[in-house]
Amino acid sequence: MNIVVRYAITLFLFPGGVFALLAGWVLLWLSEESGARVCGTLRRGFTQPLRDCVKLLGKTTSLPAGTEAGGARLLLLLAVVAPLLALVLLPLPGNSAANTIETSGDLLAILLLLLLPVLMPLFLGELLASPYGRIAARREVWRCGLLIGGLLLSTLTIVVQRGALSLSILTLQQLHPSPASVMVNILAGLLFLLCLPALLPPATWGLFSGSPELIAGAYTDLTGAGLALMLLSAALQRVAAGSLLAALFVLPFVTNGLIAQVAAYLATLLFSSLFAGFASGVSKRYSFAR
Amino acid sequence: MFGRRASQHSVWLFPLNSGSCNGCEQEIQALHAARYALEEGGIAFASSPRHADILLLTGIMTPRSQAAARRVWEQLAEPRAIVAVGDCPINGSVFRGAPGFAPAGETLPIDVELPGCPPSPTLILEAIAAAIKLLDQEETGEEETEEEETEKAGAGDEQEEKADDPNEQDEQDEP
Repeated sequence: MNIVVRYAITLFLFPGGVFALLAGWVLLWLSEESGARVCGTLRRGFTQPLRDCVKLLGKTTSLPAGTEAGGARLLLLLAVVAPLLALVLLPLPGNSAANTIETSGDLLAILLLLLLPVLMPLFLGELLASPYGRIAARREVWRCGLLIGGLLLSTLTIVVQRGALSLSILTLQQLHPSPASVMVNILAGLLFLLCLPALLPPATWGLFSGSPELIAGAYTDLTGAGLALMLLSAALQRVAAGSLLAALFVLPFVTNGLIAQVAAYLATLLFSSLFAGFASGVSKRYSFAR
Repeated sequence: MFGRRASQHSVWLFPLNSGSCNGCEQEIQALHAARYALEEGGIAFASSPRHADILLLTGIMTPRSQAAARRVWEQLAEPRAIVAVGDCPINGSVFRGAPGFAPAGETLPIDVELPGCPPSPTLILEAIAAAIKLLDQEETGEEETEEEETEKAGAGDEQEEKADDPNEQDEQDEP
């Protein structure tokens, strides 16, 4: 198959484009649905994330006065494009384009692409001329710093253990792994999973929590398409982060053919999304002491 | 077509108190109850006016509130609508004739007027539904037909009658 066609399929159909949007939409809804069931709150409809996004795209877009408009628009676009590019580069089952790339440090590129949407609110807070954005940026620095440190540590462990920075070598199937190697993988994978919420943009903007209070965030002063891009970015990043977890820690140990690999990939996406949703969004119900 | 339906099923509200006794706020807060299930209809309360589609205005427009209310209204991205909730923003209610009082319509372009002191949550939902229709027309550029205008005027009269009779309001509240 022509390399251009291969990349077009990868970018627009699988694992980017159509697949990423559909998977992101389903994962976002499942995360909200399960969170609502646990908290005992009302649930939104299945099509609600899509309806919100379409409505926002139809609204007027404006940025607060005094904003670095060019920089802010570039950051908003990057937040959507970066997870899509990360998905194109990840060697997932069925991604024929990624298997043709053989570079020595593509893991670093993937990490950078996944960290861009995470760091974006920090930069956006400063660019937007918004007091809420600045407050949120300062709040996020420590939380993100700690969690990103954990993510890098777990990735570094795998890099040292498998002796490469190239994804094509890192994701090679582990046919006869030693018990020590399996143990290292499990520990590094668990650390990665625990720190996964850092890779997902904050989902609680106060919009869906039913709280009428003003919650400071980089999104507080965005309108229309800017807000819609943030919703899209949150959905795509959910898919990209789960895909990296699957590619590094799960798929190398699934050696039973393509169908088993696809099943393991989808199960990892679902589990990681639910876990990250619970870790960042679910709070314990208040119980009265009697 | 989907875009049009999307805007009908995704509506974010922002309540603004420009000088209310908090009676209308309590009725608006009651909309959070599971009984009304706003989330299931795609209606949510926005934490920032920049995210909202509909402004729920309560209270008389005091001289000190005017500039702030105008600023809040300017933050809402188009298409947008204002629902004046309760008698105060419409005619001042018990505050009519007080020094500095002016109807909210002189400061902001009110789209839907909902009389009542205070109006019940069900009536507030009906007013929100009327505002959603206006948003939809604004988005598609359609103009209201004469028949629809007559129907709306009739509904407005009914609402006023119900607002005058508190017993009828309670009856309508029953599920």
